[in-house]
Amino acid sequence: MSLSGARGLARISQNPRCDLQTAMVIGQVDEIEFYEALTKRQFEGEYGERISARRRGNKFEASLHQNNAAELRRILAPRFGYDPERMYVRNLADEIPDYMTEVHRNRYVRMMRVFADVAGGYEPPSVPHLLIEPQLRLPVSDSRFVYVAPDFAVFEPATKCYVVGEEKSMIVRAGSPDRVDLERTRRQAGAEALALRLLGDQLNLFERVRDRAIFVFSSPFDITPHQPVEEYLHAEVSEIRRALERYRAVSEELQVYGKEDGKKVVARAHQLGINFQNSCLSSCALFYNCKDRVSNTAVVLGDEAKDAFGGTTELEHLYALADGTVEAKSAEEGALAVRLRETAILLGVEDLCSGKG
Amino acid sequence: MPTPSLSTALTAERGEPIMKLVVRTDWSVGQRVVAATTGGVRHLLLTARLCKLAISKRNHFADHNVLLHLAAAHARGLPNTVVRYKENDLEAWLDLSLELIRATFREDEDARERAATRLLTLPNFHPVCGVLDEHLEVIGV
Repeated sequence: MSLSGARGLARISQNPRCDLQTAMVIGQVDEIEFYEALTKRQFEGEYGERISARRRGNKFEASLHQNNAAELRRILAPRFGYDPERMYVRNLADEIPDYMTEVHRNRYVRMMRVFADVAGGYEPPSVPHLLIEPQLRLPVSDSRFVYVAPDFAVFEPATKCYVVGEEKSMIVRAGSPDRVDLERTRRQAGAEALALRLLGDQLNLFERVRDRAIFVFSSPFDITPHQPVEEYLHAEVSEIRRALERYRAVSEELQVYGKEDGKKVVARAHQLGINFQNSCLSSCALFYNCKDRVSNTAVVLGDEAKDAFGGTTELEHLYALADGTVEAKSAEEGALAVRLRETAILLGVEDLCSGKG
Repeated sequence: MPTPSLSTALTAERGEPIMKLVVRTDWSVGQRVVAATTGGVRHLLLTARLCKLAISKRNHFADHNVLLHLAAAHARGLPNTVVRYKENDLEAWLDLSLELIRATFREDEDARERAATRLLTLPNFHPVCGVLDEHLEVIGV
């Protein structure tokens, strides 16, 4: 799974205190190769999207974009009060295809020209109603950027500006897709909305850009699109801002600035701090590696245990507190010891605490 | 007169090349420009052409079904048209495409001509390549 662009920032935002993951995103390493280089073992777990899911996603996007984006126009037009047959569509992927050099920068330059026209008061059809694969970017230093590409951006007459949009082939049931999938998508869209806001700020479009996105999901029937959903993303935008700050800080600290520094990240991986949490299981290939690193602390018991006992408390110390073989160092620890003993008796595992069981 | 070759279409706003859209160099600038309405007209022209071929050249192609599939895929983009599996209403798709072309072609042609007239006055505009990205103003980059 790609760690570049909006996906990478979404990953950092899910666990901003994990320097190892942040460094992996900055170095744009291949997660599986990284795991194997780090552990000298072959990766045997499940990882990434199923090929069938990826194919479905590609087919869904292609069906929305074919015939001058007819399907996308058809579902978006009523929401914005347009005639779908009169909508002007510009496809940046057709103008500057992926195989060309400096694709992101050149697409971004064209996007800036469109936005300059919008800032100059132009409205559709002088500017496009619909932009396919517009290019945006987020600054991570004075001269470096993370490029993010929403699936589309649509001009909204009310604000006289564009709104970013994401196309996802996940199906909508009872008005919403799967919660976990939706969370990742919202974070990804949050990065794009923030990038759009920064671009708007550069061209004095401040109040016209809002933290929101249009989502086009699939209906449960083949790959026909469900009605578009508009969502505000204030929390996600704020988390992406934090992720960007972490990105900058870790990048400066490690002197790792991009893909060319991927090897540096592998070499220094053992020194990098981690923040093991339950959600790592579903999002990171290094889950078992990090679990080994925290195996003798309360962290390995899960997020709730980490909150209750602290991230650095060793399991041996907890056992000793429970069976009273060590003195509590503080009043809080004393109270904790009493509760541990009570719980052990309640559960009938007093022997386990003293290591006798 | 030089031998015609292939080049790229150009955006109407600034004459930027559209790399995936191939045109002939002996076409006028107006024919090579993509205006706001051109994407829709191109789709209609293609749909009509495919339907016409599928109707009139039934025994011409090695696999006629591929052509039918292609025509149906394009017809899906026509307004108020539901394309059902293996139900190829070629005549209706052709009629609708032609009707829409008649309604929009002139307007599109005018828009492209207006854009071409304006583009030809731009500094750095090359009649074949348009305005290359490096010659256009770079805003805020």
